[in-house]
Amino acid sequence: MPFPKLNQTIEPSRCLNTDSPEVGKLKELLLRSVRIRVGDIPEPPGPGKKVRLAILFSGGLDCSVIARLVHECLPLDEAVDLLNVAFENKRFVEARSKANKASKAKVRTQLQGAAPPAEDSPQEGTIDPYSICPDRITGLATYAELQRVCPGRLWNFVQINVPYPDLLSHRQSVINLIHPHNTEMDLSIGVAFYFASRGIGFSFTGNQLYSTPARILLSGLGADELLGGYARHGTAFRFRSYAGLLEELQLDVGRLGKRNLGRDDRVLAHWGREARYPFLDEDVVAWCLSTGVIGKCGSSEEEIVEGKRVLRLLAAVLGMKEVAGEKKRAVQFGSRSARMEAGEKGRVKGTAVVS
Amino acid sequence: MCGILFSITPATSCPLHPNSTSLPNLISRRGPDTTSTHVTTFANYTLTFTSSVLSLRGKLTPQPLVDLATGSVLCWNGEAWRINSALVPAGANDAEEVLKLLLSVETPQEGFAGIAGPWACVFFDAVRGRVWFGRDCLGRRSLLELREGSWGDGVTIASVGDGHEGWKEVEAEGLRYFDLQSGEEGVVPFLHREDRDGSQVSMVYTPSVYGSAGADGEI
Repeated sequence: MPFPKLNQTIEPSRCLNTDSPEVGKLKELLLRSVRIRVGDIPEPPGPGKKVRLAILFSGGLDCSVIARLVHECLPLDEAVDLLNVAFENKRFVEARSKANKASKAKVRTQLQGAAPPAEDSPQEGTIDPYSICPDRITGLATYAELQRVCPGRLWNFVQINVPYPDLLSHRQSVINLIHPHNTEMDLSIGVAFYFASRGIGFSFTGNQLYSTPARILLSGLGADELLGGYARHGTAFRFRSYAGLLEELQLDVGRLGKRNLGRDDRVLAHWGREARYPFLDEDVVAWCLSTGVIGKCGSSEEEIVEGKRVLRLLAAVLGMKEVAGEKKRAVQFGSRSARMEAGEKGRVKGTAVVS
Repeated sequence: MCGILFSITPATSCPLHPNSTSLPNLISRRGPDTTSTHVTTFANYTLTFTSSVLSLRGKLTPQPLVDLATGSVLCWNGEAWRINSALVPAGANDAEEVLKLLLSVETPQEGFAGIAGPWACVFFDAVRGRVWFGRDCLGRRSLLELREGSWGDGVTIASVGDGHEGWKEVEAEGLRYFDLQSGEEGVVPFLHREDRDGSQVSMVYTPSVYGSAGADGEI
């Protein structure tokens, strides 16, 4: 066990800033972790130069900092695939379609007798269910930011769109892979990773069908547990200040090994690829455990509630100003793989056993 | 990643993996570059090791790895980035390095304590007649176990199950073992640095009870 226990000291309160030594230290350790994980990837089999690395990319803070650090570690002529998964979710399409109808009805009453406006709102049935997924919207925004901040690097934004019938035809396979995990939440996370790792989608430029040859997938997983990124961390702080936050962090650290990485491994590896987690590097974890809560989260209440203060500052230091303010969103909600059915069936609880 | 499928069966029964036909295929999908099987016997048991490999470190190195001198066997699904604080150099195969390490130490737990990186593995120590298996203390790689009663009546350990009832996750709380001579089984818990002198507190074995649902549904 290479880890110390979680540092329980609460130092005098201070606000971290981009010059704080903790931000620099985290950068140094994460950079080393990323370098180890991307430095020696063999060329995937088959002729020609191929992309070696892909990132499970929601556009959120954690995976985006990883992507930005990859830029520091790989030669410029190495392109990197950003895998962004979005599901056709009936509930949200239905809701959007209702909203559109309502607004169209309004337009009609306003423009009685007049010709329809040239830029008509989409017809029912033409709503793109993927472009309204939160992770797609965030993913595209961060993709644009990465392109600005990393000149000379080719990032392939891969839009992995999962139509509802595709989900149904693979559902049983995913249920078998996540076993013995068996809740609706396990399944919704499982299918998101399953399709992301399959790596087939539309390339953003050219909109052609593309299948990633990369056998290594990087993930930003772990940052929420180590640096306090869940909403309940903020809630705990509101009620009981740093002592409450520390208590929550202790819970997370205690169950790191009980987290669901085994489940995720079974799903992700099914496509002959390997996920790597730079935040779960031994040295990064050890630093997060041995650094006091102020050194990771210290700030104003508003910014502490936002979560992962030291990582947000690192994003800012790395030039990712927009990413630094991104909200936390769980994969199954961001990709809309949770609660897919319209109506009653869509209200099933995450803890319910898959039927 | 790589795939592991290992079983112990009483020597009198069929010496193959006793499970469904889909399992070998599921294991091969995880490691599409090569899949091999090694069968050996010890005491009254037949041990069947199957490993599939996704080759990412050094030259393609088929598994399971067998030490010819002792007959010890390693099925490795992991990435040893550092061994005893030294980086495993580019171009070296980490599975081979791990086997070397395990053959050189007094106890397997001493060896595993020196590995930085994710892993799940099965290691048969043919000298002492013990099968060791487990996952790194963060649980970064999958390992499942399937058996009906005592392991001596038959047990399967695999990276992935076939969806049938009965598979259990091997907890990432320590190194497990089966002793093929005494019939004993046990676990050597992973300990915090601070606790290595004896007080039995392990980082992953906290007193609270957590649902298997874990933390990732929370936002």
